[in-house]
Amino acid sequence: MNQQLVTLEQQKIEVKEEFAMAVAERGRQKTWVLARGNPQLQGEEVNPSFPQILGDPEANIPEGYGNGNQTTGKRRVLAEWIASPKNPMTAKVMANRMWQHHFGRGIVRSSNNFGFLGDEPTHPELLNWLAAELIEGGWTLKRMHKLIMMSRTYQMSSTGQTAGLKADPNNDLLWRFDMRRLAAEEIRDSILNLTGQLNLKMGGPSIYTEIPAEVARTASRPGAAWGRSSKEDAARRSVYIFVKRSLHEPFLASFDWADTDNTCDVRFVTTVPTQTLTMLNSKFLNDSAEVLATRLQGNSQNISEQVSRAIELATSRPATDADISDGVKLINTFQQGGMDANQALQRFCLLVLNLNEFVYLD
Amino acid sequence: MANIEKPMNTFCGQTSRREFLHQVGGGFTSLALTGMMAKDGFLANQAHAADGQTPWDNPLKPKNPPLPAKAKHVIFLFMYGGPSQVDTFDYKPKMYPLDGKTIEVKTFGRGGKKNGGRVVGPKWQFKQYGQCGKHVSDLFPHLGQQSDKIAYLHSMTADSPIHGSAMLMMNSGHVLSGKPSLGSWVNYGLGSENENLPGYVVMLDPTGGPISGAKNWTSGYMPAAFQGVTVNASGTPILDLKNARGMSQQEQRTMLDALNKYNGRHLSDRTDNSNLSARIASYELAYKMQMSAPEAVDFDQEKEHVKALYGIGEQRTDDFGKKCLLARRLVERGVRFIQIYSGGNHNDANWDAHGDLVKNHSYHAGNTDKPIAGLLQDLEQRGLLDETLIVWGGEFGRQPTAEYAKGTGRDHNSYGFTMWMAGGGIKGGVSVGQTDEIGSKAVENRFHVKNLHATILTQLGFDPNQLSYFYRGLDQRLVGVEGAEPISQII
Repeated sequence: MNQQLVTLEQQKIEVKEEFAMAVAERGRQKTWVLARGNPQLQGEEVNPSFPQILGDPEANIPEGYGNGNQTTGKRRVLAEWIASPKNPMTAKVMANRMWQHHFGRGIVRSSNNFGFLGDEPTHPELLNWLAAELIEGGWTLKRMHKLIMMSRTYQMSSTGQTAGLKADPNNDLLWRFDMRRLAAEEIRDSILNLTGQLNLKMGGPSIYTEIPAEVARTASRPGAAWGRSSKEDAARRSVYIFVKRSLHEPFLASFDWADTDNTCDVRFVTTVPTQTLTMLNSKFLNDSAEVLATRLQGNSQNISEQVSRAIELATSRPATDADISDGVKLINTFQQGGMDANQALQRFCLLVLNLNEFVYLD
Repeated sequence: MANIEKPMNTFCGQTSRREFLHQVGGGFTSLALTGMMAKDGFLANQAHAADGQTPWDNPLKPKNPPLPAKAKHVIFLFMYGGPSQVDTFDYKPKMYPLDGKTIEVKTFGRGGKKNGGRVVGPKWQFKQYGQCGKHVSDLFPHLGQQSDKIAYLHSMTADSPIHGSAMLMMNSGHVLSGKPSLGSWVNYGLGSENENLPGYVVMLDPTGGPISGAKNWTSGYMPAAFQGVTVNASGTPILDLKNARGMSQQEQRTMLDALNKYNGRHLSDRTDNSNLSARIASYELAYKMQMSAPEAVDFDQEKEHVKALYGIGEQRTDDFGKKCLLARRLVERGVRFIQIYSGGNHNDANWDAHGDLVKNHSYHAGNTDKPIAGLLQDLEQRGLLDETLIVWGGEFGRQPTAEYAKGTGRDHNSYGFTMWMAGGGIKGGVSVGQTDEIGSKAVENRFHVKNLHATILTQLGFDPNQLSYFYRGLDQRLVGVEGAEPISQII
């Protein structure tokens, strides 16, 4: 009997309820302009409508959209208007954001503000065309990424040219690719990818990275503030890291991760010494250097081949003679100082993870 | 492509600050930010990295305040949880005989709004101290003796009687999160005099951080360079400061030299990108930081009688004493803003005396009284008190009445509470503002948290209504767009 109970307990499926915030309406209520904000001074009746500047302001709620006291149907009409092919703004704003994340800046630089106080698009026809492509392509983002990344503009070198720098130093006309530092998530994911640990599993609950005890201690409940994930889960892409408003994942926070309280259209890109301390001394970086060293040792036992492979993996280009000789020299110097071969290679791997070329995108 | 001409910086040369911010949509790099400040005549000289060549635009480089300053540093002693005013510095002799009597009084705390309750008389006796004859409770026998240095603010008010929002109010001037904290504003306005140390240091209680953790020292919508850095008073002071896996200083130097070669080659045909050289320079700055920061927490050079002054070596006061001593050492090394938390975590791990008032306050006052008194004396003896502004207080105070049917616990009270300031051009031996006869609410010279913030900024050489940061279409200020005046009575 007891044995049976134990077996059945193990088979028990845990049913988890998921909750999401939603708005509830209580029937269709009329809304009035309240003169000078005074609730006693009822003015004109207000019916739902859309901004006139974006086209047809009519917002008719078809019969059958409402459902008694449950909903008026207003939100459905709004949702349909937002996603309608006839509404140009949604696709424009989205296409602009995608452009921004590839190029470091949007065609409209103020990507949260397309209004009067925002910036003019540097390439209005391009933006219109991208928006139309997004709609016609059935709103699939993957297709848009491919379209943008296959373009000549995206594939342009970041190398400067005297004439270009003189004529258009801000690169408003996109005569070259704007070199950019990888975003916090990209740096972490690139490190995991370089060492071969990146786990590309999609979806599911958020994951927790290993955080230093010093950071955990800043919470008002130091033991309860941050969870633990398995090693495999902790190596998943940064978008899956749990976002906690009172405790920011320290690696991401160090590299200008977006603040959790405000909308963030463009992130800061700061360069401060504490980032360097993270890149040299944190457990994550040193663990990664160790894994990278093991990966290189699996390919070859020859030092110059290991160096060459590390540079290739980190920079996506063949290693030059100077790259190889400097790396080999560093490893030899360490070994002559009494360090064992494995540790010397790990130190070199740490260097590779710190290369400007690894952290900046040409 | 070597020898590329550097592009003209059109941001600062041709457009106004406001236009510039619009151009980049509110987001910009720290480099651009400092460039912008340079245009405003805000910056001192251009910093150079340790190699003497690579320019590095330090977002925290020291700046001169626009107005004459009395204070150069702030030490904010945060009594998290909310100390009771009538049991500490707000002497209410008429309250003792009321103990146990039920009275009518409007209160608002975590238990909601009430119209009356059972009075809990002050649980400590008060003595008069110093030339000013200030009444201070027996909770602070050491601090009481420093009363002639202190300006007491008895009529403080805040917007919220709930810890989370009240903490944000005291730290960032707003009950909602997302605003930069006071220390961020100070670093934004003044930079830091020592680039080997963070300009804004936070020291937490051993039991953990305050409620909402890092939100209390966030830089909000400002760049992360302005946020507070948690520092430990013993062991490794800063996260990741120590070399990992037994890397020696010499090995690190060898590695950094090799890294410089790689980064130098990479830079050679990208010379128009100053961000790359800034990052190269940041390795040298980090190296310097690693060499010099540990010295700040090395108390070996301190004389025994100085350590004793702070209560270091005594069981109760050792922890807070070390933090206060470190605060002084950081002030000496140019750190602008230091916040030390007394109390952390929840409930009685901080000053939040809902249950047993006597036990709670005896514990937290006993841990901090001697160290704080020691800090004031030590700063004065070294001539540092004049340029160092000390702020003491919690996020609110406590009610005159009992929270529950039994016991001495008091609920939160933001209608009136006491804070004090000392040093940094603040008058000593004065008391400003009054609460009513039972300390339930401020009735005379009512001051808001914003007035406290305005006073701090004023002493640092700012017009609190001018120090602003453009964000979301608005010149944002610590004291809010409505503004606030400093507390002139204590300046």
